[in-house]
Amino acid sequence: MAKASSALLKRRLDIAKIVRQNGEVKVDELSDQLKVSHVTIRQDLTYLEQQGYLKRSFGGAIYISPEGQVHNSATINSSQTKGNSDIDLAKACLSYINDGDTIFLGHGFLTRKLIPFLHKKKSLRIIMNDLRNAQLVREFSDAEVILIGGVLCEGNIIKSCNDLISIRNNYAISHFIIELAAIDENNDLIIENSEQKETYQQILKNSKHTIGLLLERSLLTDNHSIGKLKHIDVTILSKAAVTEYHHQLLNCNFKQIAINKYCMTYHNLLGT
Amino acid sequence: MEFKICTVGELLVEFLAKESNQRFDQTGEFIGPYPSGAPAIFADQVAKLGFPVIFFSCVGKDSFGKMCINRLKKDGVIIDGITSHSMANTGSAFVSYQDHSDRDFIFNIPNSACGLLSFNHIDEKLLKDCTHLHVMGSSLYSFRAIDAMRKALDIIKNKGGTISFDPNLRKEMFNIQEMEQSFGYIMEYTDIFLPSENEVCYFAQNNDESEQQTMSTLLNNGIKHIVVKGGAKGANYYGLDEQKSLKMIHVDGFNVNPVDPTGAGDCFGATFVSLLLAGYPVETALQFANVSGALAVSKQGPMEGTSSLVEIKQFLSQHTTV
Repeated sequence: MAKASSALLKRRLDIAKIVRQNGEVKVDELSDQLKVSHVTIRQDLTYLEQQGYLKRSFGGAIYISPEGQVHNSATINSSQTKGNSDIDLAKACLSYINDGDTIFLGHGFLTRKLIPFLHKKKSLRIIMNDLRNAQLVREFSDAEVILIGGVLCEGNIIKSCNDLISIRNNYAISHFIIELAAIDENNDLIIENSEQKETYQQILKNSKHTIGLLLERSLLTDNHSIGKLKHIDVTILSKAAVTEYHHQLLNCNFKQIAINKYCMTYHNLLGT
Repeated sequence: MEFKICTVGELLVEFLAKESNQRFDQTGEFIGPYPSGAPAIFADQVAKLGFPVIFFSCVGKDSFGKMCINRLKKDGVIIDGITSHSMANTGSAFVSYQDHSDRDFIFNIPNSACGLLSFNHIDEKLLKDCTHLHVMGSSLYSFRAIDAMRKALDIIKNKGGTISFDPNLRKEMFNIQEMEQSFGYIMEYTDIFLPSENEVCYFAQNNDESEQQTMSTLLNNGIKHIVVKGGAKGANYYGLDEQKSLKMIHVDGFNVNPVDPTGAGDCFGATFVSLLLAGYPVETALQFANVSGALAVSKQGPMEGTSSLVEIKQFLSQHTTV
């Protein structure tokens, strides 16, 4: 009665569940956990990638909402919409990145979503301040990863020390990608994490282009400003954020450039 | 007994060929749209009997979808689990009857709004007070749909709820590998199993074993109640008594003028499961389920033959068992 193949389906359902819960999975860990070979796990991940559940990497996979590919957000509950806009916001960044660029990728949840898509770009140099994100880059891209405080080498070992000043002096940052919590009424760019405030203030001054990502307005009691709206070139907003910020952006000489299902992109017409 | 049933799966509109043996490759007349979808018919029948039932599905933001939702709402189904999408249209099916009440289908399910049904649509809050899940085999049409069903199944099982399963095999869906793979998985969790006569051999261990042997094995594997649906011939119940020996009950069906067999098995299942959960004796549940099926085949349209307890009792008082 129970066909042998139901074990296959069950395992794939289990993997879908694990990747949905953890956000990321590793072939090694899944193989241990589910007691099947690496080859089997890789086949399962390929299947789940075809089903739109995840994006594969060399040693594992990262979760993407299966919804994202098919339909729009208008009628779905907010948590799902959020999942979709995350990926879309991250993907919208991609068109600004060219092979060979030096990127400063700020810490955060949205910037992390961008990482799996970086495999399409060649010879990137990525400067980061988030060790977990830095390790993820290693899986998806052959980019040179420079971590503030050190360089990430093979086996995820941190080599030598890089302070902010030496990074600023040694590398010309072409793009600074920063996740914003809000833009306040004085057009200040607000981030959630106060520790990174000074780093970002400096990077904002020293990079050629800056792309700000904004998912939705966060209500923050402490406002950690890293600079002014006029100092960034591109803002990418989720649909939820568009209603908040559209007029403010237009008043600051931004123009709406691209619209897709989950996000909108604005360019600073005056440049920086 | 307090219970609330949940069903998950396809909600669609159906168009019936006007003539029997009408072909799909030649222009002909169709009657419809009729609200349809096996789990939807099941839910509608449960609601008609006056029991609480919630249904999870997806429709398009079109008139077909509106029609389906309005109909289920009117009959008392809790429709909070039905999502309206603007990017896909409501599912549809075209049906033509061949001789000997065989039917031909063209389905548009996996590519329609109900094909979008997934994990995130199964809202745990809405399942809070559900005690029973009914699984239709026809609703397991993709990995995504199975993933959604599994969420509902896990939630309900973890709360100590029960599961019923109707394989509802369709030849048009045999090419979906995941569907076949999911059957073994669902069977492991099934408490009430509702195959139709011709589906029994699919669940047999050996080709030459009797229905009784097959059912014995399934009961020993943990299924508590099995009803083999035989249409007008009636139904066979299999269960284990206190001594763990096989208990079999046959209850005759009713001969009525068959107008449209679609949905009859779903009505039968819904009535049997509801009444069993409500604490009716198995014999009565089977008898009422037979009536429910008979009333369903005598009406045109898949969901048009759902009936209330009053209608069932009325029918019983007018008919003697053949």
